[in-house]
Amino acid sequence: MGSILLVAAWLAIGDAPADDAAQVITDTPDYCAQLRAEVQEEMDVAATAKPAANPEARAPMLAEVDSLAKEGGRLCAAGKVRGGIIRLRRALTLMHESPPHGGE
Amino acid sequence: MPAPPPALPRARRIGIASGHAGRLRWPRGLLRSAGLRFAGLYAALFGLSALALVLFLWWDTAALLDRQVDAAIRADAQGLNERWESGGLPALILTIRERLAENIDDDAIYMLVDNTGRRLAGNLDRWPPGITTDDDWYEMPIVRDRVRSLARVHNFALPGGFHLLVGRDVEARVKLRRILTDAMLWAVLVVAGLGGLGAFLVRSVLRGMLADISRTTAAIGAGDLTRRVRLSGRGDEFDRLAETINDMLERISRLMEGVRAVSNAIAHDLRTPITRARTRLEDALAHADAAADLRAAIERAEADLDGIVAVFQAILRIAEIEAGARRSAFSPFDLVPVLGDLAELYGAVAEERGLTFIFRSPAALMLFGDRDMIQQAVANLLDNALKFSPPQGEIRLLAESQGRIVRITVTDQGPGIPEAERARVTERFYRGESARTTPGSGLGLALALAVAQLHDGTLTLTDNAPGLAATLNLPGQED
Repeated sequence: MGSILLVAAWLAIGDAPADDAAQVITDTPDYCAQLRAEVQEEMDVAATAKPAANPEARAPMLAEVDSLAKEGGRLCAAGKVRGGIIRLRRALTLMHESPPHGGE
Repeated sequence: MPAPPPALPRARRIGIASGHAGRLRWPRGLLRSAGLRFAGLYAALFGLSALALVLFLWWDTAALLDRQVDAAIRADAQGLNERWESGGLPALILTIRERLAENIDDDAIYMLVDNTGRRLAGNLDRWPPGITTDDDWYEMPIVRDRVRSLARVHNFALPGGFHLLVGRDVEARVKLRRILTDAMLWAVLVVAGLGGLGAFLVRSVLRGMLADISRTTAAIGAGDLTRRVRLSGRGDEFDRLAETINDMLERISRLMEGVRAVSNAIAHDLRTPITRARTRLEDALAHADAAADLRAAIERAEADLDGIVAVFQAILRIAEIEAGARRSAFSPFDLVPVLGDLAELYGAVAEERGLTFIFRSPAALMLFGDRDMIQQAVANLLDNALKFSPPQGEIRLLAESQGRIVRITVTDQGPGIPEAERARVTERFYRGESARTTPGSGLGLALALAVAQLHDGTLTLTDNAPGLAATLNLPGQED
């Protein structure tokens, strides 16, 4: 039943006025800039935090986060907002998966 | 709560014209065609199998994706609810922001509003139109980066008049479903085509195989009993059917030939005694001077007519035996006294004719059958032996038991029966070359064979060198 409703709704999209549909606001350059700032803030926190139990293990991760953040910012600036946002989200996820104090 | 927005676009109703377009009429011959029914059955089975496969594939792909989306939304909502219960509104807002920030799949939809409809968190610019019922599922259009898309969401009511929308962008899944639907529609067309082609082939093959049977039986129905069904040589079910039909036709042909032969034999064998009786009566009528002469002529004619009646009785008896009607008279009995009586009777006749008669048997031989019938069959064999024995010849009546078989053998030293004729002498009215000059009806061995078969036994004729050995092989009584 759910499938039928979904297909019917999909078929009906063509008839729906664009004004009726809600707009997703996490696909915008503003959100991209917001994410970029969050990543930078997390990287700054990581840089000023107490040394981790195993700083050598975090270095490649931080390098990848930095790379993703720069690439995301570049894509957003180039108008490829969704691609840029996805990279920034990856960067944030990487940061959160590896806390600065090694879980101590 | 925001004001109720316009209703979601509705699926358009497709009108179906009603009314009587006239009853579809099928040709009657087509409906009666077994080939068409088999073809239809094949097409139906093929179609059902394909439909089952398509439904399974649909369930395993598109429907699975839908179930996965619903499960992800429920799990997501459960986590948010726990955050709401533990940290209240601030914790919930923070969690939504974090989840949006880490939504690598870029498909999450969140919207948290207060009791005035003001947006507190989430990634929709406003409360979507059409979402008015709490704790319900919706499919709704959204716009992402100026591109229209489709989302599946669930509306949760929170304490304090807050409302939380949790969902997923399912545009990619819808596209995949569309591809699957297209593929399945094409598959249905291909299946219908293949089913139709297969049904046509099945019908053609069936018609081809039955056509020869139909032609043959039609020709036989028209009187040509020589026709037979052609075998393909594949040894399949149709070949076995053709063999069975051909066997049946052979048997019918033999029976027809037998009926013809018996009719001819009856006409031929009875014409002589009837003509003789008529001649005697005419002669007596014309020439007899005294009552004694007339009486003698009538007595001779009566004897001739008795002979004719005896022939008819023998024919009827054989028919009765072959029909198995006498099985109800079966009972266990000792064969030796029966053979002893016959030996006494025929031994006396043999002695009168200067023949030697030898009778050997064990003390007892138990049989289960019709005593009178077996006695009649052995008597017929002894009649033949007496009839064909040369002067000073020897006749033997031997009975023995070999395993569970009881053998009764009558031998003589007459001319015997050539091997080529042995199979035919048991036919009714058949008389071999050596028997043409001797009196008889040609029914004695036919009756003996019928009796043997009635008792699930056999009658074998072998060379006695010289003479004939006729053996009745009968199953003995089981203990």
